[in-house]
Amino acid sequence: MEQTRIKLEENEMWVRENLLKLPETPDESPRLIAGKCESCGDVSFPQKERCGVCSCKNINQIYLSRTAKIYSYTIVHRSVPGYQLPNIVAMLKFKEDDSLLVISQIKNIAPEDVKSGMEVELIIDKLSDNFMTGKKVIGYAFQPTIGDIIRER
Amino acid sequence: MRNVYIFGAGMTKFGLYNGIKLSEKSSHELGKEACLKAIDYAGINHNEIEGAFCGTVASQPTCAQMVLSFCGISGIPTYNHENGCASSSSALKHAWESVAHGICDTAIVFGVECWSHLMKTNGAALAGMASPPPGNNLNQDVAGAFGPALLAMVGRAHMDKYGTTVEQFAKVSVKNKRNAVMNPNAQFRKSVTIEEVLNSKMICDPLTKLQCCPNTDGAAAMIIGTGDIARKHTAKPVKIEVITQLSSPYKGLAGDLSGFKCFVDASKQAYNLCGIGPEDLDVVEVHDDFSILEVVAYEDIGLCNRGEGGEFIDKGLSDYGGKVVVSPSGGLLGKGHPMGATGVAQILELFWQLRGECGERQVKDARVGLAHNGGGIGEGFEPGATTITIVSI
Ligand SMILES: [Zn+2]
Repeated sequence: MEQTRIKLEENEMWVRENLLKLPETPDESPRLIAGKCESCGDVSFPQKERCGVCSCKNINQIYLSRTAKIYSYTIVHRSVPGYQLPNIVAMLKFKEDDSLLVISQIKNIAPEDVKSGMEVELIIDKLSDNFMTGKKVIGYAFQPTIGDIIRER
Repeated sequence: MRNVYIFGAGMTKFGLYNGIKLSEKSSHELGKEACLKAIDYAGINHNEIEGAFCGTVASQPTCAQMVLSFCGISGIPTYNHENGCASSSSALKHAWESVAHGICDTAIVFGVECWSHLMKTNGAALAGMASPPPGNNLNQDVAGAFGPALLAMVGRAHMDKYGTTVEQFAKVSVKNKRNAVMNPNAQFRKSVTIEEVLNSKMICDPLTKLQCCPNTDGAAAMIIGTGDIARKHTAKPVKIEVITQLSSPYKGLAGDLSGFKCFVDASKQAYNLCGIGPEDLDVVEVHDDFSILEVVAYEDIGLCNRGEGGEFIDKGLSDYGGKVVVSPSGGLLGKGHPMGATGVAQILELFWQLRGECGERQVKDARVGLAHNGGGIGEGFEPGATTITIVSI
């Protein structure tokens, strides 16, 4: 497992900038970067520049909890090239805002063991092979909560 | 605003125009075939058309102009709309507004798609799985989740919340593919059993292959105009009552994936604007790109209450002899889904149904119809573009 990998190898690329707060010390865990509206409290991910609910322009950066719950999921048996199949894909809910859905791959679990309502935790992992560049695409994924977070690198 | 009527219609047979199943044709040739059929059906001269509105997703730039060049039409206001699988219904809304507001009196509206060759080259084999460049779609870039995966999660949310079953979803495929047998323009003209649907290859659990629309090429066209012009050409013009179009509202149903707020809002707006309600509908074409979406659509557009979509198909209420016939054309599952052409093709089915020209798949005494069309991905993982069209005779 390479849950807390930070530096990318030459043949790797981040899926996108500004999605992840990387751990800076061994005690920290990675977090998703979200926006929270200063007026209405709406939480957006990825962080919006303006509020999608009210007229507020001030969106503060927050970090979502490391754990989330699986709201719905599917086992993908057929997709575009570059993804390992079967691929477990889920919509996640965070305690910060029940109206927010975050989509993610679920790793380190057998497809038949995935259930709605299951608690999962954020990891940094390979998402796909980019078929244009041949690079490994690295980003956020989730796995079943295993209690103590593995931090050895 | 002036009333606007449809009085010409034409489409190609839907299928794969890549030289294997059907003779090889370009998007421009498919568009030409549909447009000329619509012009001839209307009985107007091509030089009477004052505006052109085309919907397409994967065609060359200025597709409409290329198509109309074959038809001797040029030097008129001409627009190409891209709104995913709701491209040509969006084009129709633009055309309807143009005629209603007196900008032009007669317009041609069409949708074109010839993209199955793209599917062969990138290895993806189901609609909604094309591999566009990275952008703002986390579902695509982070999760590798395209149309079928998103709809599968909608289906699971519906099952978890309301107890809907995989059999109920599968029944949509059985019904629509049975309807497609009666449609000479449909891509698939073979009925399937519920067992065949459930036992077909798993694509995105619980969606099996026979619950996913195929890759399709094709084109569909219509002629619209003012009442005076339409009645000059036919005794039975079909009135466009209203068209509403929305981007999906932020966060959709606020974290509830078991329905689509975009379709709820767009259909409510449509009903309010024209004074027609779901109880008045005789025939409906829905965006059944995946079986699950049709069950959810029953609820979103008010054919039944929330959570009753599964029961609605179980009781045959969306079938002939039920409450309202849904997807008599075979829908996207049976007729096929050439993205840019789908929106117009749905409304052509309503046009033919309302005029009583549908032969063995004719819905008896059909007078009011609704088309439910969605495209792309927007806020809250809902369709980025939603169009609701209501027509009457
Ligand atoms: Zn706000």
